[in-house]
Amino acid sequence: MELFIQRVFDGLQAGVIYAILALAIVVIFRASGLLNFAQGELAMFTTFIAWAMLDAGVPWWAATILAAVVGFGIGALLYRLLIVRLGGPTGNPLAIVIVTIGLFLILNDGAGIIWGSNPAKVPRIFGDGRVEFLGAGISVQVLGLLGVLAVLVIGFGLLFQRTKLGLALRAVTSNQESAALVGIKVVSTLMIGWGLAAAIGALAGTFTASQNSSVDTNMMQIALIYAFAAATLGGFDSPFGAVVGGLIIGLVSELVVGYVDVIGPDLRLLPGFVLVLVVLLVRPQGLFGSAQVARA
Amino acid sequence: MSTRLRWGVFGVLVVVVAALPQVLEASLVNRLSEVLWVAVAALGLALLTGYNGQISLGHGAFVGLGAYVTMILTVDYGVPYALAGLIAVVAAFVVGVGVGLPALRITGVYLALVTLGLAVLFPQLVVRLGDITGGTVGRQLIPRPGYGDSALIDEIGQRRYLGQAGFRAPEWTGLADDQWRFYVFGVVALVAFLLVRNLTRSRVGRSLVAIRDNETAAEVAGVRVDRTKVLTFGVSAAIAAVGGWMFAVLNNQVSPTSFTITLSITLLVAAVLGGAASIVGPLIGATVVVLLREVIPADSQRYSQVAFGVVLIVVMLVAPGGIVGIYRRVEASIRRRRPLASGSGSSGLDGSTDPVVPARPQEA
Repeated sequence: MELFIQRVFDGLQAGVIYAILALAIVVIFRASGLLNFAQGELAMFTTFIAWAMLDAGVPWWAATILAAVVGFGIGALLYRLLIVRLGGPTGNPLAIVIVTIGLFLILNDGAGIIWGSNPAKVPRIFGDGRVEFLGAGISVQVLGLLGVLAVLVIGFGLLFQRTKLGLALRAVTSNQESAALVGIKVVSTLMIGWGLAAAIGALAGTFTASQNSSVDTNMMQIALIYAFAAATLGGFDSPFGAVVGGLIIGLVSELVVGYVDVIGPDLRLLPGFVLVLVVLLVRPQGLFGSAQVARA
Repeated sequence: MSTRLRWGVFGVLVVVVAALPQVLEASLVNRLSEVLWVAVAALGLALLTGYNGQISLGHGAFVGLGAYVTMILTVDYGVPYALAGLIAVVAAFVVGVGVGLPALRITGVYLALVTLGLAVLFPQLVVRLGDITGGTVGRQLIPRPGYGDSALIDEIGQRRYLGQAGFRAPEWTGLADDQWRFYVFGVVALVAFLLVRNLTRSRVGRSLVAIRDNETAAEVAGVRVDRTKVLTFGVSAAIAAVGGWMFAVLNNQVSPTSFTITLSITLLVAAVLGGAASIVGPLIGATVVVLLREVIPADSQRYSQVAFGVVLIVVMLVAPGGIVGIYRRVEASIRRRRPLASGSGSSGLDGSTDPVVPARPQEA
């Protein structure tokens, strides 16, 4: 029983990160109908920026916030300089996928070239404390992150549903031309969307680094796959779904790997992959997403 | 170019390439063989992505499947290389159809996502099945004495008995092993490219492009969308597996590190850079990719990833049709300048299906 609870906690610990990164994916999808395959690498890159600031004497929490701000700028610029030229939301998906894959390669190796590929040490953002609960240990770090996650998901839920900016973001995704006709500045709105996503990504990156106690260039790759799985499971247009999906994926992976010997740690990715396939086949819009109708 | 001129250029090229192994040293001949396997694998991806519009970020897994099936069959079961290749192709076709079935309901970026998962999963699967695949270190097709565990080396005698002395040049040819391998690869690649060329110019090929450009309209026009898409996925995977067979034969060793997401991305770079919706595109792209890796010195090998990334972005922004797309544009502008110069020329229905990267169908 204690082992079970410990595994649940471990699953949550991993799930929180997937949830935050999935939130970034959902924000980009809500704002532009696109997926950014460079999302994880962007997060890693901004985490290195935070680490550089830490190295220069900035406190870790301040560096985290500054990294999110820098991430916002990079995300907005990427949209303005690259994605716009490919047609933004109405562009050809293949071209956009390929460009974000290109960004993936550049950011991954770029970070290695700038900062070196050896892992660098970072502190835990909420300290090293642990709380005993139901006979198993859960770190204060995880509890803190769950809190941050709750704030983020409520914040973004409100942003999309209750603010003028959120309305503009949704309008641009649903129909760019009509949105422009009613006076929405399409490009600036989308820049904000991509900026926000990159900022959340930066948080996901610094949190991951905090949890691993280190940053390295490959830290977000597996997390990105899980985050995509989480967003698929929850529904690509639902911030709440992304968070629920992230936690479910974290839990399921941990429990399946822990209890099913055939899969074991070697095939850590399999449960998430199967879950995504099943969801896409049975309920393509995800648990909390809204269905889309394709027309010629 | 007129059709006759095209075939003329093609013939000259074949003769020149066939002469290369006679003048180049073995390591360079092997480099050429590498170009061929990358080209064949990228051709499979181009058929799926360029012609049919299904994005795959996981074709490295099918190459890996082909390589592993070849290795296991030749080493453990003494199956001759050619037969092992055939079985690998059939296996990849079946798996490809299996992946293509869910792909019917998963389109565009979502498919890219699922296939990305496939790419990441494949090496993990190989490690999990370590008993037959050799796990993280991989296995040699023909273990050399003094390499690997002794149990394997003891088997060498038995394997010789089964006629498996490696992929050697038959004596009647008088060729060195590397030359023989290159010629075999050349013939295999030629067959693959001609098959895909004829396929894309047939009724099936036109329905592939119709599905890519507007699935609903294609369905209305009588194209059997589901069947076509699934079969395309299968054929594409099978071609990638041919590349995998070539990989195994060339390197004489397979290990999971060769078939990571990096390979899938490399194939994508090759296809896109050359021109994904063309036949010669993957060959040109593969040549550039292999050359690029060769030109970059080993100590700054990491810059090759950055270079690939920049290439991908620049190609998409400047010339989404790749190198072949640029060529077609130049040719078209020359033809416009002297409209009545030649009566023959291409009819416009020869399968050069511009635009290479299609506009996304309008969504309401």
